[in-house]
Amino acid sequence: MPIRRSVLVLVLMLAPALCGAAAPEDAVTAVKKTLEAALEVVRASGTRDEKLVSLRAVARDMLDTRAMGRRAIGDALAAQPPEKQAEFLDLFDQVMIRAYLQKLLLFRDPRFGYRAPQTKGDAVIVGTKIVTATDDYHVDYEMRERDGRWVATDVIVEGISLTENYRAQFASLLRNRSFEELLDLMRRKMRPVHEEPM
Amino acid sequence: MRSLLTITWKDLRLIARDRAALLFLVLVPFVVVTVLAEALAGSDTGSLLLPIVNEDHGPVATVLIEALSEHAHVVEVDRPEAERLVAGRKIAPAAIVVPEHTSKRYLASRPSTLLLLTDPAKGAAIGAVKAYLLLADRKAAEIADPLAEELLVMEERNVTGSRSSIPPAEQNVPGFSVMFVMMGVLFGVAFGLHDEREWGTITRLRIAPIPRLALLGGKLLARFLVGLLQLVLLFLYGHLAFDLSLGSAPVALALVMVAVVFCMTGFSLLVAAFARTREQVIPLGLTVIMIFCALGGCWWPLYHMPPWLQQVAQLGFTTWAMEGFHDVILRDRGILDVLPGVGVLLTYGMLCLAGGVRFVRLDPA
Repeated sequence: MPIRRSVLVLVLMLAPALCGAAAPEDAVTAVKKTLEAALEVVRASGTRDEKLVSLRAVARDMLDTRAMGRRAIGDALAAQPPEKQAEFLDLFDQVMIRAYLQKLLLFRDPRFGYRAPQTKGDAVIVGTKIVTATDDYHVDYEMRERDGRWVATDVIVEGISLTENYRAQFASLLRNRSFEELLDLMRRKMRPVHEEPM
Repeated sequence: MRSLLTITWKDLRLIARDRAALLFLVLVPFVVVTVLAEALAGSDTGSLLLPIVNEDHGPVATVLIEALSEHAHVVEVDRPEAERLVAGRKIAPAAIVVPEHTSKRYLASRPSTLLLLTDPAKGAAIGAVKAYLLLADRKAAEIADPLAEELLVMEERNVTGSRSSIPPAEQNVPGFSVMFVMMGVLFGVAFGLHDEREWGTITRLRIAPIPRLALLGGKLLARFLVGLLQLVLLFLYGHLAFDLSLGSAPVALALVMVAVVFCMTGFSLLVAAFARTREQVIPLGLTVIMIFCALGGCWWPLYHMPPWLQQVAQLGFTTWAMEGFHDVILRDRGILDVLPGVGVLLTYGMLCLAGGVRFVRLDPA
């Protein structure tokens, strides 16, 4: 009986790891699904604004912008009252989604290529490339499993992590300005987006 | 009242007698107004030639080119061709170089420097290019990181000289100097010849043992020297009063000045030959002066005019005169660089002289 219990405990302990062994392919599937859905939206008829609304929904489905926001702002967030934290994460979500989509929309009718996924700690790096007639542009997604589904916790464009990029910008801003001023800057930058239908 | 009407009728008959003068009187305003209106119509949207060196070949360059194409006639060329269009052929005010990996840097939110190769002699058009670039940059910013710093930085490089900006006086002083010297030489030559005919002094000169060519040559040389002195004084005044640059090659400037005044002198003889009477000199002279100055870029830069008019302007010696002065003053060009233009001006002047000598009348009126 103690042996059976030990086996059960061992199985329970190893379960996440056993799941993780098959997980990288699921992460690739999640990225593929998102990019193909985005491509469908881009190719479908409709105004630019209509497409942006659809694309935001598609991107939000994969990008864990709250995790990215927390990572980008670092310890400064914890010192803020809950309503300020919530506002920052909401604004960061808009900033991130906008930046991601704007980069994606730079390409006209893009073709995507995929590289074999790589495991890095608890994350899976899904390497993709946007293939154009003259060059390839590498966009890697740092995927993590959250609540049974794969989400991107960072996007690395041409070797530069978007989250790290924001982290550097926020750190630089917060050296001379207050958190409230940072929020104000983000509010002002995102004003047109606030006005757009989400 | 009756006597007043009689005098009026007499004068009208006198005016009507010189049909050519009457024709010029009526036609001149129409011709000048048409030419000025066309010239001032300016370059229509898209007529500004804007070479782009696309070393990026990525999506950012594509967006920039599309955005710039809405305002200018964009041509994709390689770097030597871009420099040739700006500095060599001087038909483009500026060229934009989109460096390699701009798109990759842009996507990674890293700034890139666009190189603007300029010909400061075309200051206003460069201003337009910069404005177009700002608009394109704003368009590109729509696709940029909303929090990031400026991702497309511009660096201006003069490919025709050492200066990056040209004060307006450096366009205006040479232009108006050319106009006033032309007025002096043209009216001087034309009135000089007609006065000699009307006063009858030409008969004395003709019976004197002086060859026809020497007679004409002497009169023209005097006007040439006066015109040259006037031009030198105007440039010196511009230099002292308005800080007009005289370039880095005084011999080249002197060469251009001599060629310009020589050409003016020959041209003046031709105009004098076509003005059959003294009355015709003013309307005919004013017509050619106004048209040649307007088309030649004496009053405003040539590139402000529509492209077809810029082509027509190549037929006028004032265009070559202004180009010669711009080469020396604004582009710091030397003797060898101005020689082709000087050659054109001297040939132009010789042809005008030949035509003038052939048609001018030296008999008494």
